Amino acid sequence: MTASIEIQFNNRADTPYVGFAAAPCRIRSIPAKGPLDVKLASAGTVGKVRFYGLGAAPGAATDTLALTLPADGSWVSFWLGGAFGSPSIALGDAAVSVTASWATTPLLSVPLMVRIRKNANKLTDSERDRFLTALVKLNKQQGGPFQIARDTHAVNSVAEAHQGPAFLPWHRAYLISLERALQTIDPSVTLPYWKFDEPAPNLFSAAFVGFWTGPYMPMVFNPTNPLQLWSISGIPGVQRTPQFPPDGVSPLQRSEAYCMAIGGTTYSAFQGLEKDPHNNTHARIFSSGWITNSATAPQDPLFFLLHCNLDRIWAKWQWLQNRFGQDPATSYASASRIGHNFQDTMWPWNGIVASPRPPTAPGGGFPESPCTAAPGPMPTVASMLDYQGKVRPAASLGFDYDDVPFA
Amino acid sequence: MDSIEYRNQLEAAIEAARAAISIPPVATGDSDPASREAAIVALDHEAIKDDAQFGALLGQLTDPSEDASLRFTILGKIQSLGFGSVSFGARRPEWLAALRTMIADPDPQLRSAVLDCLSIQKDAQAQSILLNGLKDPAVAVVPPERALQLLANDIHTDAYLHARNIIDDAPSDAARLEAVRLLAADSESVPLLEELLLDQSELPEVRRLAIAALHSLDQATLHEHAHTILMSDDEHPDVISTSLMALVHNDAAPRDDLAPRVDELMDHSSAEIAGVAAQLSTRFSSAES
Repeated sequence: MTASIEIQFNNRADTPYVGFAAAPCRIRSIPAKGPLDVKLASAGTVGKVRFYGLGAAPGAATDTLALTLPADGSWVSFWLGGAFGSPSIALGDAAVSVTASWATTPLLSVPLMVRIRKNANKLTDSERDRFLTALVKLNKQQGGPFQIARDTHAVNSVAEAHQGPAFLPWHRAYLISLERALQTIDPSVTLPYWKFDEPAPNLFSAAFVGFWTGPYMPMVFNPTNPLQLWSISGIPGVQRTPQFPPDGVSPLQRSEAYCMAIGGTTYSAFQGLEKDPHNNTHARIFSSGWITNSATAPQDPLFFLLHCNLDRIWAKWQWLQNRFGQDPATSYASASRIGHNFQDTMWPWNGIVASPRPPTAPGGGFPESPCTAAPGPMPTVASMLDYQGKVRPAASLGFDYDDVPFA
Repeated sequence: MDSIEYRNQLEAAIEAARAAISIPPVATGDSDPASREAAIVALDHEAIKDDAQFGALLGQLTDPSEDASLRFTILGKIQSLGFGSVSFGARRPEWLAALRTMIADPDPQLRSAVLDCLSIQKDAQAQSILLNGLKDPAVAVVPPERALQLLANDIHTDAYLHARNIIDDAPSDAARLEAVRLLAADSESVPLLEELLLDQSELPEVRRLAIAALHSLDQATLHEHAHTILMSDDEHPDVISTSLMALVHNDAAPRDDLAPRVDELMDHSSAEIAGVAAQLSTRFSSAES
């Protein structure tokens, strides 16, 4: 009888999506005549994977992994993550091949996707259109997750999410909640980031977030761009006046290296990026439009790409400085306001509407992901720091950036 | 590139940035524009908390004899300091009062930016002035297309009548487009939007906006018209594209009799049209399965 082999990524069926972080996986064979020695390898055409050993926790990265499949069909656990520098474009362009130890031809190849947040200016047309299609569909759901995201960032979020150390963790949670909602429409989609210290002519085009022909002129969208159907309160279009040309960068914009330099080695210094570049990008790089006001900013799709870039800069800083929450004194900063302490749960997902929290809490608990159980329905500030599961593998939040390694 | 090499590269870039950081000049009372601008840029949240400092800033901002570029910098800086600011709430009344004095500012760029700031916050005084300008162009502070854009920030203003008048007798194409856009929030405008959509002598941009407007207002009506447009051999390519996209996102699946036409469009010479047609074709497959 021929053995049949099954692999589950993230230890779950039908969740073939991994980032760069080591994800728990498992493999088994339908019982054969004896144990089966196999070698796992990366077999994708675009996306590539690496292996992080067997057992309860990830080990060092390798290009292949040898293991033995028991004859009784029991699972063998192993760890796998995308290879840094080789993300997927679509599901199936990455794969894991399983080859018997004596053979040269694989027994099978199991497709997956190395699903990574990317630079919006460098997306393929297909990636861009999948993202925009999912976003327009999400916006169209009356009272759905996009409306909740807008309501959440209106007036009541000011104290919960700004002018305090939880600015970055809160917005990380906010982005993840939107991304998970997009992935219920199209699981291949991630939030792209606007790398605002570099020209982004592909992003600021009629094929993407819109092209402008002069101050206060409406954004132009191609007839094949899903954003031509973007509407807020029923009115189509996006109001935005940038203070830079579509193929340029504002001279007011801070570079990423500057943010890191100013940020130093402790979070108490790094959190200064809320003022600059964050506030400046919202309100000085743009002279008018929804993005200049915190209550209306989420009406503009660009808002999410702006914050994704801030989150990426934080993620990169975390990697450089090894600040994943293992030492709150350096990974985070002291707080004086509720919602900003390291172990505080975060509004609105905690559902708390008693003073001093806001009087309403849009939406319900934090959205789930099929790929990870983290952070749970009531995330804490702390739960946002170990987003790759480096301190505790089960804490991995299920996203990665194309220019932030895991190892 | 391996992680170690990558890390070394990043750290070198950070070191270079650190070496290049220059401390902004402290304001010394110099009156040259560059020094004054640098002093504004260097302000931090203390400028909001301190009564005298904030008052002085507003004074400079609202003084039409001041350099317009400096005033623009002050406007942006205050907005930046106020963005997501817990402490700015206390300053909001005097901030809005200052902005209202600038609605008729002699500088058009400042005027437009100030009106934007007020309109986003649904300021009644700003709305009233914009509506008066649509009624009587002699008192308008911004062009009609800009007024309509700004009024669209609050669907409860009484701008719909003005928008319909502009569609009948538009001072410019830009004004007409913004009028169509605004009427997307007015359920009574469905018949007018249908008329615009079906009129092949209309600008394609107007017809595309009518599609977007009906997408918000009346999915079923749009479904029928998009179907008709796609079945026609004599339609503008941009209108075809937008109609295809509308059916991709419509609540209802496309009717089966459209399938052969969508197949034809998948072979269209425009790769973009072919691409959207391919997206729509998957809705037929879903409908069949």
